[in-house]
Amino acid sequence: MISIHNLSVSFNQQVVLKNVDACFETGKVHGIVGLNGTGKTTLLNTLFGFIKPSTGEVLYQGTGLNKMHISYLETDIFFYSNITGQEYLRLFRNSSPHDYEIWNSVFKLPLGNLIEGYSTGMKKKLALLGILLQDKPVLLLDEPFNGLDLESIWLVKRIISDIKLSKTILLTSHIFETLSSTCDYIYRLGNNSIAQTYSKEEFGQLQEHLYKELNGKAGF
Amino acid sequence: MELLQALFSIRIKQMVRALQGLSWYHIPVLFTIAIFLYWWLFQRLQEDPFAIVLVAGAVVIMLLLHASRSDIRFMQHLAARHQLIFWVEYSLLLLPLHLLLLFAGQGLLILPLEMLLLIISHLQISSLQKSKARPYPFIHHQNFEWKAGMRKNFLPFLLIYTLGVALAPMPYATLFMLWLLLLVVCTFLQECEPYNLLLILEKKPSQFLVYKIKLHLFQYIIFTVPILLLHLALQPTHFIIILIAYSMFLLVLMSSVLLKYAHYEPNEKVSSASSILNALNLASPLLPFLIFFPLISSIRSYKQAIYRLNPFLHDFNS
Repeated sequence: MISIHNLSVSFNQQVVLKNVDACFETGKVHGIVGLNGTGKTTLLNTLFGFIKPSTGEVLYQGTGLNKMHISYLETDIFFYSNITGQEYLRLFRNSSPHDYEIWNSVFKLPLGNLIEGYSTGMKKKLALLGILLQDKPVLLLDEPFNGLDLESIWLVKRIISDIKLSKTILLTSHIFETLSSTCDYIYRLGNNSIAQTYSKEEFGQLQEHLYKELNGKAGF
Repeated sequence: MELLQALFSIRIKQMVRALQGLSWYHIPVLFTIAIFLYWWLFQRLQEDPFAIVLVAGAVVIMLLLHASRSDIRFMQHLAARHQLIFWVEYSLLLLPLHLLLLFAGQGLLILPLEMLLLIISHLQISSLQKSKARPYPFIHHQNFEWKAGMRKNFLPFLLIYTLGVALAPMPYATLFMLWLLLLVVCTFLQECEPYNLLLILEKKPSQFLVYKIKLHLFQYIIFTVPILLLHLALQPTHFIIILIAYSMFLLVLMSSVLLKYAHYEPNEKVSSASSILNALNLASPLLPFLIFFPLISSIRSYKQAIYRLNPFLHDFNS
């Protein structure tokens, strides 16, 4: 379980997150939702340790959460140029061709080709494959469905639901349908904090709230 | 002509930016080194074989530069006679060498040099290699820099390697080829990997640096030991000098690895300032007055690299 206590993050004296308290249970998928600029990526970057919080702490199973526990899939994925998918996957500790071939029977990536030739969706799948090979207990997935086709979205949802039992998974998405069908809980960010937590039964309520918020923002 | 002018103005701005990236004290040091280098080369150029070796070295460097260009396709779209632009660029880059050859009475070498530059500017090395991904099973699976680098520079690498073997009977010629191989290998370290590739090893900064140094030195030794042994067998009287030079090459490679991480920026090419320092590092085995440069640079870069890597790897400190 990840516990966040009184977490605040500021940039140039501008508060992005203020006094955030939350608990993310193991074995569940936790979605983070919010309008642009509400701090979704900042929250994930803070959990990963890229941003130092001004106050508060983040614990995993009672001790400080750190990179040894986490695999992080960022929205923008970068790869080293002129290497193949296979060479990329071989870089992961303890990964043998056997491991990634099993996963790739599902992803069907041309692993012998240079990554530069991959489409956006293929790159996303390759990055995800790398994350799965690391087999860490906490997964932070920032917009994992971006750039994926329908079949791949279905596949990623299946994989998340298959591996979630032993992991704590946090994900963000702009597509409400993918969030509601993947997550067990959704946390709505607003006013620099987690404004409300929704369980599966309350997702309809959340959708309504988000649409209202969007209508208000657009001036309808 | 306008296009040429625009491109050269960009190049000048890039050079100024690179110099701005250096600390203030690097400028007089660089200036002094450049004067020494010019004077030293001028003295040595009185000998014919040295002039030929120098021109050959310059051609190989231009070939490497051309092979590592990422703007060839862009230039093809921009100008119908883009090869001409490349040729003028390479000729201008080697203008100091042209002048040196002229002053040293070796002006006749300018013609073959220009011919070779013209041929290089017409080569389409990178696009040929992009189409297929040759596997390199003899390179350690963690050494992605070498795999990517070999893919980009396979032809120059092979050419220099073959020359290294072929020239083994000539005193010191093979050493020069080993130095050129080192030059090629150091170009493999010009791109910074995404941060997730740093984290994969789960090592603290000092352990990470030691691991990377070992990995690159091991790979360089694996490739070059056969040539070195052949050269030692054929030149037994020079074995001490050969071994000292080879040790220096290893030190230069270590220093290059440390320089890369001292200026590490995820997903970026190494900074121009770092490239200039690396050029001095590479020149040190050829220039006696720079002999201690790799050692000093290594000590300095090690501290900087630890500091630079710490934000990414501090979680593995315990």
